[in-house]
Amino acid sequence: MLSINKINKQALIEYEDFLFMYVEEEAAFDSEKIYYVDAVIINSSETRLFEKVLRVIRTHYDAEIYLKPIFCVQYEGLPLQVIECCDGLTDVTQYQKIARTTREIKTSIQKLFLQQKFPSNEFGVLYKAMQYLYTRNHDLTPFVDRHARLSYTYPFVSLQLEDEAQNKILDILKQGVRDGFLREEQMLDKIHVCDACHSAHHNIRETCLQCNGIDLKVQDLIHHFQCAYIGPETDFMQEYTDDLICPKCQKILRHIGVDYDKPSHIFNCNTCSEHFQNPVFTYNCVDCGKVSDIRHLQEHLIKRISLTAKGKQLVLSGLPKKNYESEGSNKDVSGVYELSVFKNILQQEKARTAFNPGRTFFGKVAVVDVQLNSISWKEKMILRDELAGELKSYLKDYDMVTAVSAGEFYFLKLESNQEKLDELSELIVFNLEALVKSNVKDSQVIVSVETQAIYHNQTIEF
Amino acid sequence: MDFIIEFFKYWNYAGAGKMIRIFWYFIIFEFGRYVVLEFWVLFVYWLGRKKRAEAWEAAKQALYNEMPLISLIAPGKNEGKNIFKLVKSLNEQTYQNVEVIIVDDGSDDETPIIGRNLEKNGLIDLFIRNDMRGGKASAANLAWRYSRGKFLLHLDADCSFDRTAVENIIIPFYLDPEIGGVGGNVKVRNGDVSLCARLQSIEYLKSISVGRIVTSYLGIYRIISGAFGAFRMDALKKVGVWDIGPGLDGDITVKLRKSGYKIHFEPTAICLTAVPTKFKVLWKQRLRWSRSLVRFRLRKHLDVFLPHKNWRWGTFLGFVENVFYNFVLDIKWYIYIIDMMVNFSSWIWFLIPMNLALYMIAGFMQQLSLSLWSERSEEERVLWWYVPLMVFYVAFFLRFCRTLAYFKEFFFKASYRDPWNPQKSSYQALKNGY
Repeated sequence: MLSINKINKQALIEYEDFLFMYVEEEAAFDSEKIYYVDAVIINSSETRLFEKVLRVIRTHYDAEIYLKPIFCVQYEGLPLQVIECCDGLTDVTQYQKIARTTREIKTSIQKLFLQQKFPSNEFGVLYKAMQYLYTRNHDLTPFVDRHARLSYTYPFVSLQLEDEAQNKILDILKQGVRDGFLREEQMLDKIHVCDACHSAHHNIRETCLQCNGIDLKVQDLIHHFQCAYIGPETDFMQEYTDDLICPKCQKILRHIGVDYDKPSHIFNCNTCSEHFQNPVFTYNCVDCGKVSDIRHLQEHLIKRISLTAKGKQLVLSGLPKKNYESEGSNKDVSGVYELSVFKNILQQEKARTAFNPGRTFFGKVAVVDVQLNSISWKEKMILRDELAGELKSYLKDYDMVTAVSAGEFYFLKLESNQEKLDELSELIVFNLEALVKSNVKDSQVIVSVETQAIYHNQTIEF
Repeated sequence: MDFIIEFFKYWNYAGAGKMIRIFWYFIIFEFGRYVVLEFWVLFVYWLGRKKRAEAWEAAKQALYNEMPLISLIAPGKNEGKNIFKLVKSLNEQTYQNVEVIIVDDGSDDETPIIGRNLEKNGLIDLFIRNDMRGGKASAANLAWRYSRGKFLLHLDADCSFDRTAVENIIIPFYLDPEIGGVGGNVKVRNGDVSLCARLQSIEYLKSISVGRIVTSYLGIYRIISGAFGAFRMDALKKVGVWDIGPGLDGDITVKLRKSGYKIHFEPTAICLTAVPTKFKVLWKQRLRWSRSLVRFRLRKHLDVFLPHKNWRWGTFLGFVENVFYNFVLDIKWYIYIIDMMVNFSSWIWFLIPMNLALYMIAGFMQQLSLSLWSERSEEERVLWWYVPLMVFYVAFFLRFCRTLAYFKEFFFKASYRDPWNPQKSSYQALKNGY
């Protein structure tokens, strides 16, 4: 029944009709073998090992891999992110329990429509999250994680995005809720993230209105009833005694409420000597160092998420073909290519520029608009294609465009010069902004165009 | 018709001697003081205009050469609706080296929100809120405590100012270094709202715009209006800033005079204020104002009358004029009326119309002097129609109000129970004789 084939610290365990990968050390983890196993069992207290295994498996492009069950052996003090991201805690004798869970998950995976193409990266993440929720048959419950940029980690979903892009998780899940695939359940928390880097790690402090200094001293104001003098407590304090003496009438203040009261307080900035009652509350982002008014922090609600019937239906039947082909691809518009094709052409152009340098330009068009989050992904795709078509209309037949999303486009402009490019950029900015504004309600779109001449030995980052 | 013929016959027969006998009160105290003396002083003042203009230009130059920081303070309660208008008016000033400090004395309206917003947006320099009300004096003192200017302007939040008001109220300090405080010319902004406000417009013009030119010229000017008054910062420190009110503006003026500072009235420093538009509200306001005469002139600063203590002729005469015209003559008026009723009862129906006519003539003569001096005489022309009503307003409304206030203050110390001041402060003021 149980057969253990152990090589170094990694073992393949056969139990019933399942094959488990048993991992004890990071160095011994062979990612190639995960194709052949039904689940992975990690027996280690090292967080790094868990992180590596989780990342390799959960970020895989193949649904059968990224949905694979992962178990960990119970250790005292195991970090929460490990416990929450695994499919169960176990001990080395509980193969029966592991087998049962693995069977349930495998059965669910088999029911799924294994979608390979998605209209956008964001939708891909959403779709994978829905698959995960379906196969695990429980809600998506984020947990507090001081290492996470948002200070919350969503099991499975957080792994799908790079650390800098973690803020997109909330948008992706919100979009899933708007489209009816997901449902928001109990609210767990509110987080406030930096408006520059979306980090929830910041230090909040009181600062001076005038100089933004943080060296502030707050004092009570004392009102002496008898002579109507009012001033900060230090006006009344004596150097050698504890008495409070009114600086105006020299009377001793004996009894609060009878002789005097403290109607308010005042701050004194030790940097610029300014006085004020209401300091500005600013935050200092631990991650990016930005200092700004706390009113600029973005508030997000952290909620438990569940899969709706519509969501279940989607992961079982897959996306309608038109969603990820005709609407989701760049094929329909002449001169607008898939990103992979575009990259190939770019490579060829780079080679060609060795003989004709400085005449071919690479351009990046960014369309930034918070209102884009309020439209459905279908509308986003339509808008993306419209923008791509519009962008292509300003280029020659032999120029090329690719659309990554409704907010990100690249183009290749052949046989041109910087002056023409600048004029073209201006035209693109003006017209794309107008197009977005006419399509998206309350749009505050900002379109930017960056261009650069390409050379044969140059590396271009997307 | 018969009555009119009889009326003229009677006064023709009575002659000048009897007229003086009957109207001595009016001729000596009213016409003599408010018409003859004022016309004379204004005439002399007018003669000196060229010399004054030259000195003014030099002082203005000195002010702009030095460009001192001026602290504009506006303490108040529930003035939220007025603050923005005030700030807008201050932003229009020709003199701009100012700091604006607003103290909210425990408001229960939207004042804190408005004030903090103005501070955050840099429209004012400092907004301080006392969660517990301490009274006007403590609010003013708090603003003073955090003022950094060489001069301090005390403003009421419901006022607005001519563009040159701040500049013009400061220039007198450069005319004479002994000046410790300057009073601004307070006029009525909402005079067209009601009859009550119209009558106050005339009253303000008489008693402030022209009346204070006269008292200032004679050196007996005794009250720097809290609505618009300027002070030297060192002088305020020397006199210990404001004491508990009501009537704190008159009180601090007296304190400055007693400390040897000159007090000046500047007619070109113009401030517009909103006055009560209903007689009931006005009655309460005047009761409060009038009580301060007894509380401050006759109690707190009684030493002004004593030759061995703080003796200064200007202060003494100012007090005498104030107490005599407001307090003594107020009592005297009732005696006079009784005299008329007893000794001239059979002709009383000839006396009353003549009395009113005389007061109206005096009123029109005063209005003429106002028109000659006012920079807004065109706009104020409408007030001429209301001059006859001033006889009833001054002789009856204000007089009865004053009498009641004096009586209540003299015998019952009513000002210490005035809700205008918090009870905790009034209790201490009463206990310690302030």
